[in-house]
Amino acid sequence: MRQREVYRAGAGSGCTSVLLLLSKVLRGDGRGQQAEADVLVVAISSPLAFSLVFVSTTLAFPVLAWQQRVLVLQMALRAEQRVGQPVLPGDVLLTPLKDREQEDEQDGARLALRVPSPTRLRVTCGPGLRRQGGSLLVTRSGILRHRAPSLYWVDSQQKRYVPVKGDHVIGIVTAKSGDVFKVDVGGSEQASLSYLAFEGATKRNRPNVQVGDLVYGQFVVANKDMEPELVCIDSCGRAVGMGVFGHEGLLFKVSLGLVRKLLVPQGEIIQELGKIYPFEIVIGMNGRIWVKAKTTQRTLIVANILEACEHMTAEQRKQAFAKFSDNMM
Amino acid sequence: MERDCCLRVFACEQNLLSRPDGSASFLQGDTSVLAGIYGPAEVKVSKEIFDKATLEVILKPKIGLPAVQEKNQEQIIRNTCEAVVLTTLHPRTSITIVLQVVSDAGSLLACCLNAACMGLLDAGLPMKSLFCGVTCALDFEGGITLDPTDKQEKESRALLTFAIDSVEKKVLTITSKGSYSIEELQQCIATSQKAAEKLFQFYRDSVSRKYSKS
Amino acid sequence: MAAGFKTVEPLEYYRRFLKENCRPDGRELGEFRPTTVNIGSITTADGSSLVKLGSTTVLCGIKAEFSAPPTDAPNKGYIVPNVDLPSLCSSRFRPGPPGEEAQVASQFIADVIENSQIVLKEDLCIANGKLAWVLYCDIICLDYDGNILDACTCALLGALKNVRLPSVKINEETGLAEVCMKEKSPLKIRKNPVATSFAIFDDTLSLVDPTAEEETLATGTITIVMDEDDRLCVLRKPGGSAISAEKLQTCISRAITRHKEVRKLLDEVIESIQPK
Repeated sequence: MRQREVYRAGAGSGCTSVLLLLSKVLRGDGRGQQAEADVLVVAISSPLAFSLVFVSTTLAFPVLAWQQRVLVLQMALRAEQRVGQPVLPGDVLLTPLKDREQEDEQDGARLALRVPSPTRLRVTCGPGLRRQGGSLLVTRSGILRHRAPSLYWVDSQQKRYVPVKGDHVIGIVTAKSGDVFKVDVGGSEQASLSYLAFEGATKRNRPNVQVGDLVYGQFVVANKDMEPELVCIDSCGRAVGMGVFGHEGLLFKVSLGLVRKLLVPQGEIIQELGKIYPFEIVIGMNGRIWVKAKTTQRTLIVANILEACEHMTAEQRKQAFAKFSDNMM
Repeated sequence: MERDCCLRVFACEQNLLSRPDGSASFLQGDTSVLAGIYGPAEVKVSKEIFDKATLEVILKPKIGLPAVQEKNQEQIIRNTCEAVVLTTLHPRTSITIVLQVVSDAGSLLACCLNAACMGLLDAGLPMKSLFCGVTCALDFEGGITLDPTDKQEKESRALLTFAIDSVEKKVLTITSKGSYSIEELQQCIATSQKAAEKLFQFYRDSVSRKYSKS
Repeated sequence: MAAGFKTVEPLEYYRRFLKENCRPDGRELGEFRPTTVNIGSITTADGSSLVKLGSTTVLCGIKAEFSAPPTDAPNKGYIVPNVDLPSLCSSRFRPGPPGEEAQVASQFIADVIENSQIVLKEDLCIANGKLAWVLYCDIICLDYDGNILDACTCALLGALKNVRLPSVKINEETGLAEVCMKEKSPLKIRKNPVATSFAIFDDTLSLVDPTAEEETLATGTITIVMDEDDRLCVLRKPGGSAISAEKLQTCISRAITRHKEVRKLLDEVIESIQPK
């Protein structure tokens, strides 16, 4: 015993019609029976002028139907459609379909009645996302970002740093205790840094590190259950820029979002700034920036410009830089 | 019913303090609360919990020292936040929520809850859903006034404050003053759930606004 | 074996029991622990009661004193409740100023008195603007094993029902109060609020009258205070897992039946001590 109802709705109101249908289905179908419904939704997202929504109600497969109800609910929030848009904690994103099935879906958009296949693309969850059953749960507010083929993350503006393995950070040495230094990196716990984790350091040849020094290092251990551990060498034992630095210059704090913006590969901000006059800069993923230019005044100028960059668009920034370099001439 | 579904004008500003990791000020009519959030930060050894973060709420009244009433509200706000914040992701750390009452013109607890949620959003702490606070006042004729002012609160027969989650729209927190019937309770829940939709839409809009700048 | 399992995986241990619709102490999910009430056992107090819920033991003593009525309400007396959770009752409490839980419980009892109007404060006024009764309701927990709020509310109600206040007359000539200790009359109890607490387990199951162990493992608690007209006086759900309106309704239904049980128990106890 199968009944079918066909609904037509404009593409824009696709989601609304799904919800309408859903509420109808959830309420039961007016025949006075506790009817479980098998809902098939096809082509909600297709760019057709009219999307066709098919509903077939059946009393035979309540379990199957229940699963599909959930699917339909989530249809409105497909991950790939939300890329670049703000998301809030609690939003549920459906992981994208595999390529082959996407084609299928588009082919089938015309009429095919097909149960949406539960096999979906395996995705990698970045920061701000968690897996919840077959879908993704947003846990942080921000903009949803995507990198092919299957990496999703939420780009948010934060101030507090949480150590992540592989991040390069600026730390302040706060204590020497036995074989390790304690380094403040701005997280919830101080990181440890072994005295052997410097280039050329041996048991007899200790590095010259004092309390209060700045170090630029990389996390080798960073997880929620363990004390984070920094090193100032790479896997081959070379410093590659890491180690103690900055006996002059200025250290200041910015938001983590700005640091990420500055460190984008081929980032323009630093390059443009470097054209005006030369300066040294160290940027840590923990929101700390150290700058040194020829004079104190110039150092301060760089620091102020970088801080101001947070709320400027690329266009505004170019104008500001142009004006500034004119003044410097 | 028209009158029932009417909330006062609400507004919110995020990230307005420079020192805390997240901050927000929430306005509902003339009621205003400022929230500052620190975390995940270092925790006192005595308060350390090995498998989750220690959540602390400090509620500062506008005048005077915190009393028993504030302690009670602190507990309510803390338990509400604990229900949504994924504290297991940051074990052995502390998350501190400081709420400063700027002005109280009714529905204070609801405003505190909203400020705390916006602050948590701003601090970027992991949460499984959002929540909002809604206060309902029942008058002597049995009518429901949403988001009452202090004058309406005084004239009311009963006062109920709910916290509602954003995913399933279920009730996280209930506190009440005065006595009321079961039907009235159910009506208040339904009305607050409706009002919560508006607040969540507002949350979404203000986050969109924040991120449209970058 | 079972003890080891309980230590290592307390939550899983409980889940196994709850799956079978019972609890480790043998109760069903909707079953209270045996409740015992002893009224009037402290002879030095004006009213007293001892309530036991399983091993949770709470003692309430009421002391009546004279005072001038508050200036903003000259026709009212005072009721001053206080809940004390001394370090004696559980290892979780430290000596010193009252902790958060004690303060929250005190506030809860104050809310119960205020919202339910157990005793009208107007009844406590002796002479308008001159003299009124102050009832100090001190509730002390002697043994803490969860569900302190239910026990406190029950103890308060029992003790208030036990209060006998001497009649007081103001002497017209001297203007002084004359206390007649022989004529004692009970307080007028207007409402009988009874609290019922639930612990929510794994977001779905609700256990009535949770023990301390159940409270720590639970994902949320609800306390419902009902009076005899089936009206809610206090509804307290401080955070924890979300609950739907339907689920709340079943909890309220349980609270209504609990109200009848407690009411009957208190009436029986009062009856038994009457013919002295």
